[in-house]
Amino acid sequence: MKPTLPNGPTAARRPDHASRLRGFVLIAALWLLVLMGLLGTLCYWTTLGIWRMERRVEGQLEARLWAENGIEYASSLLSTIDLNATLGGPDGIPCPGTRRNPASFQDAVQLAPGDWEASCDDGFPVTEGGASAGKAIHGARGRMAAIRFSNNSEEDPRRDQDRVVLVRSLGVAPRLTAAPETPEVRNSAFLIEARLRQERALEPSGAINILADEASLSWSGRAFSVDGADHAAIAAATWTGDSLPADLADSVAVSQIGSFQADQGLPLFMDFRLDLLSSPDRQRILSPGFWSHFRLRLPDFDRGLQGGLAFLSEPGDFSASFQGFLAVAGELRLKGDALVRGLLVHLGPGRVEMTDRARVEGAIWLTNAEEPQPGLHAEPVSFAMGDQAAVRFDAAAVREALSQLPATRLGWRILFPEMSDGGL
Amino acid sequence: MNAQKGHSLVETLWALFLGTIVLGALLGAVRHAQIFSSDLDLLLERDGNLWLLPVLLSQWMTPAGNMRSEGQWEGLSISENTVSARSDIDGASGFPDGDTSDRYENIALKCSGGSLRMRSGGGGFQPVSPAVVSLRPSWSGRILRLEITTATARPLWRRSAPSLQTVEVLYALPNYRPTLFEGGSEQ
Repeated sequence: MKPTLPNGPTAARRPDHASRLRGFVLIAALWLLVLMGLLGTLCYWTTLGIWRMERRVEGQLEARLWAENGIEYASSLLSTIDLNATLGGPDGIPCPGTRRNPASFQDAVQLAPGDWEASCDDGFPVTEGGASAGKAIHGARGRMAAIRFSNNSEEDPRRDQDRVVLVRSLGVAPRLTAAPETPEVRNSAFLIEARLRQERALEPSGAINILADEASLSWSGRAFSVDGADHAAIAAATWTGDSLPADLADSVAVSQIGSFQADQGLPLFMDFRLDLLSSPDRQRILSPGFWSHFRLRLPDFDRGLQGGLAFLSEPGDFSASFQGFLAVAGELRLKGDALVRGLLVHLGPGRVEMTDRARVEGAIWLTNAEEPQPGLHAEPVSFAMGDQAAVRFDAAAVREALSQLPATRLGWRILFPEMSDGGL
Repeated sequence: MNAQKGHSLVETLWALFLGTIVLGALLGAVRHAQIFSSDLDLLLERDGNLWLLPVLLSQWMTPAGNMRSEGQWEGLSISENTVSARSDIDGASGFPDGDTSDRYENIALKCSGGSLRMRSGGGGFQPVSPAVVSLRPSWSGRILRLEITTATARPLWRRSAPSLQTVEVLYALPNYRPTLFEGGSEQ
């Protein structure tokens, strides 16, 4: 047995081994802490990234909803705006180039909705009264939809003739989370384009407008009045393109001529078929499908006698007051103190009769298209007027009646930055 | 004197016995953790499909169903477990061109063989999402309603049948409405 000294190697080894063991545990613990810290950080950043992605999708959806709202707003506004004044802008000074977007995508993701102003005013709606109708609709917490009208590419950018326009709606919603890598991107933006048509095809050319190959007109006494103001008293066109029916002018006795007034440069009875053919918009009423589609869809749009657009589908008497666009099918007798201020469109069949003190301030359309069927077959129009009944052309009433007709949506699409004319 | 090294047989047997018990308990805990993890995976997979499907379907169904109701095509048609949407939404100019031959203008969805299947254009139905056990479409006004039920790939622990989850999604089709005057497609 080896003698061991109190301070020999064996005695000295034990304290070193213990201290090395303690040191190892410390390092292991530190490594464990670092590892857990890294795992925790990884978990945190992954969760944060997923959360940000989800919030951005939410922002995009919000922006899309606002863009769609903008299209609805533009569609409802289109019936009342002056197209050419809108295309030229409120100041009447054309902007350089063709502007379709309310704002570029690059501007849209950075703008502050409350402070936004367009760089050029072309395409922002102007009503027929000349007032600016507002470029945008604003919502809570910075949400916005901005709209801009432009002419379809088939026409001059600042002169519309066919009543077809494009409208672009830019929906903007603030980002719900900031992205540190792109601090200047504050908003989500979404752009939708729609092709709309303002409905003015039924713009009258006279106080009474007849679209038929044959007409049976009856005038009683001399107290009635047909005043075309600055238009013709009676404007007529045939489906077939033949000349105006002779029975139209022959129906008026010489003694009754004084009951008719018209613009000095116009005949009392005018053939307006050429007027229709020269207008890309108005010539549509000469097509077979126009009236059958219109008649088929009228019940869906009837808002009642208080709503500005009404459809009376049953024959009967009318002695009330109405303002707006009134479409009628079947026999109609305007009697008593009946007043129609706006447009009265009779689709036939049957006779229209105005007696007593019935008045129409605006204009009347008379056409006898039958129930929808292949092709269009027109029965003779029948109209009678007597007593103190009066029809007086009123441009303001006509304009207001036509503004009750909803715009027709011809197309709709989503635009992405690379599709939207470089952002202009 | 020599230090006593090693252990007696009894101590070893006790150590083995106690070690087995501890190991068994540990394995039991691990097994439960595994079951929990497996069930969670099944549930997440089932619910993940439900979270994703509404977003995917909105990208496809909303444009294909977003047409005027009096167009030349049937538009939206619904049977028991199939919904078809057809719209002329795209052409060379970016606006309707008079046919529905472009991608995503003619979409049909149905549930069969335990998965959701989609047909785009004239092709056959292709699987889109697994584990979809039913699709119940309905249509009211301008709102398309889809009720989608998914199931776990297999029953959860101590369950005899797969677990089901249902989500109801509503899609607004603002263009699906009549127009007072005829529109027609732009040629």
